[in-house]
Amino acid sequence: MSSIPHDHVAGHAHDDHAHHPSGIMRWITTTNHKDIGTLYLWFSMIMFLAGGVLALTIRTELFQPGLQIVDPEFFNSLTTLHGLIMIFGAIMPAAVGFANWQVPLMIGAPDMAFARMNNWSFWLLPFAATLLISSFLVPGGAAAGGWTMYAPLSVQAGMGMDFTIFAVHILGASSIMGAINIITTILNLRAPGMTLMKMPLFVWTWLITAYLLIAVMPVLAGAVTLLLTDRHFGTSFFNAAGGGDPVMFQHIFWFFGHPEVYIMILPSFGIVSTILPAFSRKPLFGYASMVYATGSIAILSFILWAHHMFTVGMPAAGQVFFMCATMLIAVPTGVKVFNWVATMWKGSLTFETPMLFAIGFIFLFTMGGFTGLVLAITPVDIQLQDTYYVVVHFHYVLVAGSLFAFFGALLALDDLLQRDVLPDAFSRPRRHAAPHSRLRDAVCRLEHGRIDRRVRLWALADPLPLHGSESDSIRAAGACQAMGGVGHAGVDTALAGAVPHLRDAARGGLIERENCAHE
Amino acid sequence: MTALPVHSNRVLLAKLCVVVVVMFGFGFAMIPFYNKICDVTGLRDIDLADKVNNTQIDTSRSIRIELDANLNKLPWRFRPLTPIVSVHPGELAQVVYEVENTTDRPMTGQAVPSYGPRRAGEYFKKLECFCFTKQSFTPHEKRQMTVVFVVDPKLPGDVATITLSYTFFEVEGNKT
Repeated sequence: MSSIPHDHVAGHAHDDHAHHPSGIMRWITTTNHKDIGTLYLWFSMIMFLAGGVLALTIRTELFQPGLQIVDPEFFNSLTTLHGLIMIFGAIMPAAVGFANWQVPLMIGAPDMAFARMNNWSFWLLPFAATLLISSFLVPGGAAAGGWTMYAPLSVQAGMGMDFTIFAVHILGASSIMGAINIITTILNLRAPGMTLMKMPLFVWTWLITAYLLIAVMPVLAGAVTLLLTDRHFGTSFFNAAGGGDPVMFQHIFWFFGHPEVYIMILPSFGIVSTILPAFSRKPLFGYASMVYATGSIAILSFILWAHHMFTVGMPAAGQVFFMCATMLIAVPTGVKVFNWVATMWKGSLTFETPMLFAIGFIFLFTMGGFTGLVLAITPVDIQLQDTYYVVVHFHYVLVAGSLFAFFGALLALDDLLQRDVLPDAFSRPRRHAAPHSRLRDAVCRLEHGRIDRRVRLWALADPLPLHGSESDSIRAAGACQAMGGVGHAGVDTALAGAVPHLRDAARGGLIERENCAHE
Repeated sequence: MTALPVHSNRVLLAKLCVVVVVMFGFGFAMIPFYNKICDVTGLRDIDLADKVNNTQIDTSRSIRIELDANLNKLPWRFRPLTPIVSVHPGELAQVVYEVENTTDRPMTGQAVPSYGPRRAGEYFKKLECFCFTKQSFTPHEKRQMTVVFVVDPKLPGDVATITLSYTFFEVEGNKT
């Protein structure tokens, strides 16, 4: 800790934008990771509402048996676009938004590694989303073969399918760039002294998610490219009459599709592993096992894709292999659930809203996991394929899983959001208006987890009267521990040595909630 | 982390881009890979004549064979001459389908068989079938085509009816 490089120039990178553009240009040209994180979160919210409108229309149609409101063809478009919009428009960008906000702060980086690429990877999204949604307006309507775009239906579908294919290409490019950015930031821009195994768990989960993204998004791009050439350039990859095989599309798609479900849930695992220790006033139980469990889930996710296609016909040996591989996933997932429960065990729990979301996550995500385990059993799956049981299963893990974690994170980070995320027009009167509100307390406590707010503020690059080695030590310590990172004796000592009045905090591990009110 | 981050960032960017390109290629490479697996395991050998080892006729049971004919977006006529036949397991049987190209252009198609119940497929041995090859038709040509088959006596006892269903697809590459 004594030989920390003096690179606090980087730490002031945010303050150098003396003449930054204002108004809409601020958002279009921004390279600030927090601005871009905000854009991602707003985009995700808008897409969430758009996908939600489609879902409401679906439920309205299903309110009674028979046909009420929409045509069968349009109904199929609704389910297809609901899936695509929620997955590629809502869940994934929200996770990237949280990564943009938190990863640089948690690891003590001045910004994302490729700040301009970060801007580009966001600004591709609105265009892709417009393309996707506008496919409702073309002759033949939007893609209607399900979000999985199975051949041969997708080969025969109308123009809306071409819009979808192109949108998926753009969304994939955006995700790949975002993932490269996050990996580079995490591997190259960590604060001095922060080894990989000292990173907050959210950073770990995102590192692994980003690797999954760059491994499988190109495969999806390949799959839809093959669809495109089948549709327009006379190839027969998936066309049985031309010697192709429609089932092959499912193999290629699910080679992407299964890791994709972990891409959507791993960041939420990280978020829950951040919220729980803060509201339990205990360090995360089993940090190392959490990291290894996350890694195991990611590796296993590559070898079980065919459990999505038990009914298409497969040798018994294949069915048994994919069944067993799928059940194996329950082991690292079980480790995680155990660790979350053990984190709360004998903790000093309080039940503010983010904590409620986190506990709701644990219970309902576990339900999603158990239903998944049932579906893994081949003979059962053959009965349940394409039934609402499957729909319920993945909504348990995506809504009660990913979405709950995101809501919890959003509320926990409300303080940050009010600082400079929301445009002025949306800002509410902050802190002094309701100093004793439960939410405010919750935010305080979360931010305090183990360290003083001033350390946190430093990490946020607010002006602080800290200089030289003092700030470096705090930077290393603060970044490590902010948002519930693992506590390490070495870091605690450095923290206490650097700022005497924080010594109590470092020794006691926790700061009384009353400290919050003094600010 | 002693080197300047900008340089190491670029190096890592290049490495990760290589991964992306390789994985994009992997998506395409799955096609020959998958075909190879199907060849090795024989999952897709629907266009090869089956071998019959045991020709002992099991007269103790009769299997009802229902013949079905479908067209995939083809303006043809396609039907079995006898929709239902009854055979003993192990007995050599022959059925005839009739196909007519009702268009004014020559067309090529291929029939793909399927079975109901699906597990009956492995006991249904086709020795000769028009589905083994592409079939070309001159305009308005009508042709009768045969299927010679044996139902394997090992057919599970609870299967009393087998539906043999053919679907004719146009071979698009031969479109003129």
